[in-house]
Amino acid sequence: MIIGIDIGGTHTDGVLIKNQQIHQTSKVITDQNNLTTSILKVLDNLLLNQDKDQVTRIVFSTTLTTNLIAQKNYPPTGLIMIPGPGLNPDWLKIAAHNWVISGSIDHRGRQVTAFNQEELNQLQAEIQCAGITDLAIVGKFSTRNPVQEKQLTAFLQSSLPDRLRNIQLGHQIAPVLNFPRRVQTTWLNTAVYQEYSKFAASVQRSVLERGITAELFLLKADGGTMPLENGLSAGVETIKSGPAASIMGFLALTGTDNRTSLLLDIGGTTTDIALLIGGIPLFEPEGVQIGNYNTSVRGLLNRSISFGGDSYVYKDQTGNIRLQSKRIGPAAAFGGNTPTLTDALVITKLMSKGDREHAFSAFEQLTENNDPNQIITTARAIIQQFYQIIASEVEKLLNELKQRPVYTIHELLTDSELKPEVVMMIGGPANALLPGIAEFLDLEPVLPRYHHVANALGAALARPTLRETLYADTEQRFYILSGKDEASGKQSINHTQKNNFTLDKAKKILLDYTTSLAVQKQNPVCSDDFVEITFEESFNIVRDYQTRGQIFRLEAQIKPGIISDFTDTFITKTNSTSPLSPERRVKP
Amino acid sequence: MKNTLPQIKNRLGLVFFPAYDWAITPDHPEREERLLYTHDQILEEGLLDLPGIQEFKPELATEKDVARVHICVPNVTNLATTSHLISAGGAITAAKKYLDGLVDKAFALVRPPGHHAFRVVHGNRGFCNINNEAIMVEWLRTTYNPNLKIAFIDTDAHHADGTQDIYYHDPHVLHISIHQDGRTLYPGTGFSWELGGPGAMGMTLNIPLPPYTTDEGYLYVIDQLILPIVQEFKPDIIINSAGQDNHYSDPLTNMSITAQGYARLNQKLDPQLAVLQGGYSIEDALPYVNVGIILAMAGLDYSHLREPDYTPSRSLQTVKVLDRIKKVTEQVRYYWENRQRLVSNEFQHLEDDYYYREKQIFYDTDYISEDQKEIVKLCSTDNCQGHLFIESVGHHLGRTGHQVPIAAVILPRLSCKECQKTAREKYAKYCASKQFHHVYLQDQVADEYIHWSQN
Repeated sequence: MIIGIDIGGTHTDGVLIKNQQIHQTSKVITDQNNLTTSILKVLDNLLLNQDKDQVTRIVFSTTLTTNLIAQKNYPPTGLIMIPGPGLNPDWLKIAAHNWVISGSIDHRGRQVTAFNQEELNQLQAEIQCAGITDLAIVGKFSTRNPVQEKQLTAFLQSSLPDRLRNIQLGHQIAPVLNFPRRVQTTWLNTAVYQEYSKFAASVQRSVLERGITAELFLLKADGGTMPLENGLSAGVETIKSGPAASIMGFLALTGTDNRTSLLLDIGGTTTDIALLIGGIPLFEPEGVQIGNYNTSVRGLLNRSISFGGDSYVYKDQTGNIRLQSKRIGPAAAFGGNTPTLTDALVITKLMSKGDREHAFSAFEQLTENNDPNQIITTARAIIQQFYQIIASEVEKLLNELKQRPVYTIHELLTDSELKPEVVMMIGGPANALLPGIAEFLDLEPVLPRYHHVANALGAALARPTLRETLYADTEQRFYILSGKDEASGKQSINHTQKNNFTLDKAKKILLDYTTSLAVQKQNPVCSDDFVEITFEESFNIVRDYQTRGQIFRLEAQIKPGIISDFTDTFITKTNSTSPLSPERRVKP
Repeated sequence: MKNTLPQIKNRLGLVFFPAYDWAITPDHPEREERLLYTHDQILEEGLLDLPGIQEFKPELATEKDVARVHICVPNVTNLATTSHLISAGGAITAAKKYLDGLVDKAFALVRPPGHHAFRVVHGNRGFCNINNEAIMVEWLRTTYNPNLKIAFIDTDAHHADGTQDIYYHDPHVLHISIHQDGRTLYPGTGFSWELGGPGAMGMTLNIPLPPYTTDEGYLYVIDQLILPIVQEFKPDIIINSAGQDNHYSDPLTNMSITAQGYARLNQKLDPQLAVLQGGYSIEDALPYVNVGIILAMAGLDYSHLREPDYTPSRSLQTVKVLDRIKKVTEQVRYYWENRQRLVSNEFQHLEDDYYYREKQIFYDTDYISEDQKEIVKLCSTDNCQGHLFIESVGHHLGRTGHQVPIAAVILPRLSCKECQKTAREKYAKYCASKQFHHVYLQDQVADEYIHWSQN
């Protein structure tokens, strides 16, 4: 048995999968102050009269980090930047205590300026004075050479023993180029670390107390899972896992449909828009944004607009009836007082549930007209407005993707335009809205089965993901692997290996490394077949008309996907015979 | 504790195209690796995340976009490869985003560069095949407004001989090239007495600077000479042809400008559009210079930017060199102030207000020597820019040793009916003469570009 639990802003949903069938579902109101309670309630509902020993895997998608960040619920956390030359770093002083110190690494990972010992002594005294225990250390180009981040850690740990309980380093938490994002990602992760660890421990303990010994996983922003206990960077990596759960839900429900698909997940206050190309979700180009923070966390591409079923209808100053991006209360047809998009659906009989009379009277008050035909016309116009809002947002997203830069002639010439062929929809009013919106967008509609528990299902069936990089510089004789364990970091290439260190060799090192990480994730569903090289570049380093070495830049991934055993089970069958669209390589 | 993003004064568009799969030859300075470290620096600085800085994908320039500027021998397709079309297209994209009002300024960081490409192109010279910035300007004038007044300020260390050639007779384009003295550097031209054709005297200005000019000397010229001239000219658009080989670490030149100097000169010039030119200190200069230019264009604080080996003394100028710079400045100022009274001694006056000169152009990369005759008509009709006849022979000095004689008729976009008629007749005569392998008509009025070939 597998369980997926999606802890959303308002509801916590759960789904129990047994014998490759959805066996039980559960929905409770989320208690934002105590997520563990909500989780346990759902677990209890799902496992009523079930043999708990049969549960092998539970996957959570949680809003915890998002909430911690929104509510600033973290201890005073320090930030030390080693920015070197460049943009004025003052704007990145996002912490309670910020330090900018000298020292610098250049774009090829060479140390340019060493630390100033006097400055370090001063820093140490100030940290002691500030009384903090949590500290993020981030250097510019530390992904090319982490030596200064490591040196500083060693110095602080020896001069302030036992004080700094939680030091996190930029090159480990955010190992891609982009110093401001590395600062923000590392600092956020450091800030939420303690609370996050408490949550993980509490979930683990409570689940054990119920006699469940299943392996526990978290859903990440990129639609993959990671073991609950394994996360130094678990905090930031789970931001925006809600939309990721939804996209993985679509994948679970329609995974064999290889056509380019537009995904719409409509809720009460928001609608999420995403895309699947050849059955693969797209990534945000640089990383996920949360609040005012830009992170380098890889996440699934998703655009959220603040219109949903509960968006209310109002009359503007010029007397036009319009849909407003705000929720005042539930729909009149479902016990509220204000007219909403849902009421418009009830009035036009697109939705059969709900009190149609109440919906009418709410609209009457607005239009000051009790002619039912007139009201139906108004309701239709409101629904059209919603379609229009969605359509222009979709167009904006497609345009954005079209403008995504490429850096080689080959890519520029082969870059084909994205054109969705089908539209899929989940969420409360999906049934009512899908035919209309499909017609409006001129796309084929697909309504997945089980669309009401898609998020929890997506979490339950997601498989682990990985993204690792290798950067090699054979002139300086080193290569560097992304990641947090001992194998990563800067490795030297010895003199005799230098000329044999080819692109193929670099690929093999990266593939072996990524595979070993996949195996460490102890997940039977993750074999090395899933590891693929997504990006490779090599450059000759030429000085004075002589080739002095090469630079290799590679990236490997395990892309997000659904546990293979389940691929066929939930699929919504469509009659289409359209050809498979070619798999696109999408640069994260 | 709040996250206050750096304040951007100008919305800046970047067209970044490093062409990671294109090189002249594997060990040529103009090769795949050239913008690699710049790219890393831009990414690591997180510049593309700043609200107000937007990256755009380049478009491909069309054959017609190229033909509007160049007489390509034998034809556009043979000379402008895809990489050249993308580079020129990148400049067009930058201009388009600016004129559409999406950004306040735009910088095309594209390669290969273009400013050594003349109007007539027999091959590659100075790493350039086609002139990106001229193609951009002609696209702008065709699409938006034929009367646009343009000021080019070319800050590459090499004389912008190509762009100068293309606009030599155009009184609506002020072309200022500031470069290392031609007696000490390729292409060996760009002396202050090269001032423009008989109908556009003083609209071409050359400021040759002595080797070892530093920030101080360079900024002196900008403040004392270039800014007042540009102010007087009142252009609609200022374009910086942003070469980066004045840097003290550049292997091909002998200038001494720093990244700080580049940022300051850009801030002072305040161009709406910038197009990358040369610059071959790819590790030690380009990453810092390009970031400096981007910060300056966006109106961001660049005071924290410096090269690893920068010291403030690098910006200072010795008295001796500064004296020479001041002399050049005075000379050019004299030419500018007296431009109405100047008489061209480069051109020979023929009858009917036709002027004539001969020149020789050497294509260092492709090893071609060109002999060119230029016959320009000064038309007395109001606002008419006359017309131009070109007869040129390309001597291919390599193994084949063949010669390619061509003729071309150029009709600027502001030409009167009479000039149009004369030009068309001359084109027909050239074709009938059978003396040329190829004959071209570049008719900017009709936006029509015709090519006649012997075979």
